[in-house]
Amino acid sequence: MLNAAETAQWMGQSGIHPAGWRILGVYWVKLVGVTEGATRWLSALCTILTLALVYRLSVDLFDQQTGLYALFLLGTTPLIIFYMREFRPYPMLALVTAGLLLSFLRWVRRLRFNYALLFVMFGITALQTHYFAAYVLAGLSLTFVTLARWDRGRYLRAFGLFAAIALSFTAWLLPVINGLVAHGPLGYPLPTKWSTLVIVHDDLQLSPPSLGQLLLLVALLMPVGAQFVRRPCKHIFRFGEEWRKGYILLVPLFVLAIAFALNTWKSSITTRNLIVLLPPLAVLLAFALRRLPWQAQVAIVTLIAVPALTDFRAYRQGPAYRQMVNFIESHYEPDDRFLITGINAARPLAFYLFDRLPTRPTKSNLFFVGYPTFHLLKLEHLENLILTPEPEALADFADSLVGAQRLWYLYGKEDRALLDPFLAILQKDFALYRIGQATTDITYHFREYRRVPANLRDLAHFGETISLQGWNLPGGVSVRACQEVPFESWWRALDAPGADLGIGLVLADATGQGVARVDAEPSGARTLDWAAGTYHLDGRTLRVPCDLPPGDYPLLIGMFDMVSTEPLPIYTPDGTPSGSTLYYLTTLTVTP
Amino acid sequence: MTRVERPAVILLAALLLLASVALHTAHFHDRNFREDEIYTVHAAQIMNLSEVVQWLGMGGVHPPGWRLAAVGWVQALGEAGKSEPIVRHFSTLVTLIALALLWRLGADLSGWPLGAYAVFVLGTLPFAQFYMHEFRPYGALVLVTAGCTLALLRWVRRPTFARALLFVAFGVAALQTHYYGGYLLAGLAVAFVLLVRWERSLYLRAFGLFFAIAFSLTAWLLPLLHRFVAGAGGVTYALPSDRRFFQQLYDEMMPVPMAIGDLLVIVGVLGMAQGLVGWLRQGRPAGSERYRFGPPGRVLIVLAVPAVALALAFVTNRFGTGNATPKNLIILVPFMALVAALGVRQLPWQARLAVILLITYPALTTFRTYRTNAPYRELVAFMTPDYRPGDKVIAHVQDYAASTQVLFYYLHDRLPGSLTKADMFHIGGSSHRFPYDPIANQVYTADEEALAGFERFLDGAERAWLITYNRSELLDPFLEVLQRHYADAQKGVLVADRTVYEIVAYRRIPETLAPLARFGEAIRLEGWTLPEGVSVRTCQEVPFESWWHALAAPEADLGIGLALADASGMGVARADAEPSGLRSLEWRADTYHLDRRTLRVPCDLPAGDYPLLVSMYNVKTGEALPAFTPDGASLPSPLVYLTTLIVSER
Repeated sequence: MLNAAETAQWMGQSGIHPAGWRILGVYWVKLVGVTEGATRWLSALCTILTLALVYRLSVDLFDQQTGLYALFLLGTTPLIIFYMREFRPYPMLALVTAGLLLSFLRWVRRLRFNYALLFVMFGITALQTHYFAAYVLAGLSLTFVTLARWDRGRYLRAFGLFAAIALSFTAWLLPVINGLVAHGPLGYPLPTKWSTLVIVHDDLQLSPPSLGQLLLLVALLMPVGAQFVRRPCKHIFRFGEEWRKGYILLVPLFVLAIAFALNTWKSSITTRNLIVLLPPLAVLLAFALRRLPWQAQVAIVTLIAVPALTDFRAYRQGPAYRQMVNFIESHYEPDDRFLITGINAARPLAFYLFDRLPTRPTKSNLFFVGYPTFHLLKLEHLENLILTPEPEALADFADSLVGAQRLWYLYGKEDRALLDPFLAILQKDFALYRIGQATTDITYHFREYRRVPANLRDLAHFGETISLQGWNLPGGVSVRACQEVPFESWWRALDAPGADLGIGLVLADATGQGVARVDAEPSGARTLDWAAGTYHLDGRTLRVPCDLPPGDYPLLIGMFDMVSTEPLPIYTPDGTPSGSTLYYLTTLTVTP
Repeated sequence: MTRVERPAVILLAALLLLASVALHTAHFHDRNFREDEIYTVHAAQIMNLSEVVQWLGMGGVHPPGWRLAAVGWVQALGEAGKSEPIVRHFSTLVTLIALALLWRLGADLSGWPLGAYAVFVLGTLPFAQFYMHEFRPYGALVLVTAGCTLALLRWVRRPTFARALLFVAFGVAALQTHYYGGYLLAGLAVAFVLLVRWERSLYLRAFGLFFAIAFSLTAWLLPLLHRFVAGAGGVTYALPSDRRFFQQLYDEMMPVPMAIGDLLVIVGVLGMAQGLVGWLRQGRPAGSERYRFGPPGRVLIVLAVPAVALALAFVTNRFGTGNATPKNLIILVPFMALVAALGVRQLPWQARLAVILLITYPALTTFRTYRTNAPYRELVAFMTPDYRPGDKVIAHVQDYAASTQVLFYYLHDRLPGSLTKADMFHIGGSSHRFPYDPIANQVYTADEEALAGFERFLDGAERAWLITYNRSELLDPFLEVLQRHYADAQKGVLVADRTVYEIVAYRRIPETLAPLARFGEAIRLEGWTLPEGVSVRTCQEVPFESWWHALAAPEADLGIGLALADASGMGVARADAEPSGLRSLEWRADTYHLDRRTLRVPCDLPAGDYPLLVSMYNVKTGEALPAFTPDGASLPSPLVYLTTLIVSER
């Protein structure tokens, strides 16, 4: 819904995150569409480029085999497998981190203009991707000072490059300052404590973690030696050949130190932000792996590959958005109402419904119960955010139902005290028709309610407590063999049934023998949950057998106890026993 | 090795060995005995050595050798032989020797560093830390495994009589330690055939040695056959004979972190394969090479023996009797340690150091409990101060298979003045029996006969102790009988590992009780005593006992307040707490309860007369319960006057 300029404005409102990646993401979606698979190809592309750059970096520092191991280690890290596929800035952040490390290394070794340009391009992209990229640039500059020998010309030019990158960010400086100063801390960053280091370690580590620890220890202890020297750089770097290891060790160390230092002032550390540590660390661990004997290399590759292929660590589970839309889509009409509660991310759900349903729902038709009414500066404001069931809110909800034929009730954790007043209004005129659920981080429930028609009447009583009030064959009475015949029936609980009952729909032949039947619980709530005086709509399809000879076949309906399978006796509305356990509805005319 | 190196290596070996057993001992210091350990210690209290052989002969499977040594050890220790840490020094000693033999075996195979790494791996292995330190045969099984392998390898290298004798001695010891020693010997025999070149005289002599070892078991053959033919044969807790067999062994036996263990084993195996391939590529050199695959072939014994033993165990478990358990298969562990050590040795020093750090850290900081124990030691500690011979002990312990009788043995051996079988009553529990010393008074139902028997059992006793675990409804009728005559006086909740036992001390209700006051609607004070009289001194801890009668079950958590007041009625000392026995929420209607507490007289209290008062209060709200006279008249204060203490200065 936004163009590039509007996206920049939107991002500017919150201030922290620069607009670059988001603009790219918006146009990518405009290009490929909104489905999960297609949008995430941008991340896949970034991942491929990241791996390629990490390989190149490893080869530049060490050798090809180290490059291959770095690819392997980075590609099998659980955090990379998870966050590098989400449609979020983290794959790009990893990409620019690898790009910065590689282009800067190349430039330092050979001060060519095109390397400088490449580095500045990566730097600008990095700052436009995520604010943690600034930590990488800071870490890189500190590493340069630590490792590179004093050479006035090189130092001046290097800091010129950093200045050029910083200069590109001036336009975004005010929103960032505003974001940092005006906004309070976010709720989810990690605190500045030792335990945070443990969490970062646990989340970023290889699987099995002890092999990551082993490789890290070996990398720290193992000297680089002369094995990888192809182009000596003694005149550029200090510490002999150890600068190679220092380059990929110091950058993540400085980044981590800067992140922790700034975290004390403004909480910002999350393990996914620290994805910037992984490309250089993968090269470091690959160096260690490369230096082990071949037997250990084989063993470690095997022991890492097996869990990478067989396990998937889900760092965060998203709500069941897709399952909700799948449930709604087939019956959805543009004028439908929505009642949403107990779902943590209500706004993303609303956006998902806006974008995925065949026709965008009207905001005024969406009611969010149990959500704060204030608006953060977000992409699009929602209406009808209701915190508590105040009379005014209930009246608005009742008014909104006028004229509606269908309501979708979507919930995660259901607070009955909060919801009951709304459900009481709903159930006055609406009957539960279908239910569904899906479990991701929690279990989400989806319910379809339909308006109770005004023309219902007592047709027959099943047992003491249930009345058949109406039925409908949307496809008419003329059917063909092999056809799935849709059928709807309206029921009213005269009293709570207190038993688990099923509905049986039967097609009989001239002798009264059933030729097709569909027995199942009601499509909505189980009868055990039917309250006295409530209406219920059952929807089901009856398959006409393919070998059924053409002719007329009576359609009958009954109810039975799900536990004992005994059918319920049927009475006429005035209480006279019908003498049968099946009620005649109509006659279907079957054609070949 | 130079003159300097040799003592340095010996010193390193000594330090490593001591560090390993020190680590085991530290982890095991506070652990209770398991049932097998209690059996052995109990056997030492009631049997001589020939009776031990008879006892084991009745079971049939386990040869008596290790048990004889263990019983002898306990008997040699005298009274100290009942203490867990001291008894387990036997296992410490065995573990030390086992590790020393493993070092030597590793050194023989491929130099002392291999031995050192193998000792490190075994010493830090959670499985070995646990099972080698229990007072059970598993430490010795590792010892004889390392000893047999070492002795055989040495004999193959130089077939002298002394070495033959050593091998036979270790073999006989193996068979007398545990019947899985037989699997080990079978593995060694097959490995010998696989790895040692054909040489008629050597083969003949080797099988002579194996025969001699087998011959030593002939005396035990009949009990063994009897067990497998006439008895059930296997054990109910054997490993399943499918993929889980190997999975469970892997999960329990691998070093921690497991990925490092995997790495070392894979590297070790690949290293051996590389050595073998290298030797084969060189072509089979002519000469007097004793092993089929040259020097690398000798090392293959660390794969061949466990592979054969494991295959045998699996096949027997699958097609014969189910008897494979991870602890029986501890014979695999020394070989696994050697393979892992081969892996360590192939790594560069930086990786070796990293591996050592990564294995050492969890070994020092964590302890894996393979089997949980019951709080036996804590039970004895709880009972000892008040226990008198003749006290009745009632057990309702629905724990592991042998828990019922084991509890009796433990209490019998340790309570001051002992506990007789006739003084212990078992309600439910396991039916497992130690054939040599069966327990008495066990019932499984609450029928009239059982309840009458229980009444007779209690008859006349002044004190009773009720021990419960996994309480069931079966206890309720017996509890009713018990509470008819006895009042709870003290309760303990005792924990070992994750097992929680409860114990309640009961005292016979005196016939002299009479209503003194009522608190709230349902609780009556019916008696009190000051065992040390009313004359007290400052700083003194004054013991006080009071008898309470619950007319109905209280619905609140109530506390008892004991207060010493001055002339103005102000409290100068008080002891407020829940009843010393059951919490009032557990009081049933028409039951009696004895509360015992002490009141400390303040050190700065001036000499004089001080009224002693008692009250009840709601623990949650702090509100005092109204007090009434026995005939129902309301008292003006919730505090009821008991007596006056005469305080004199210390």
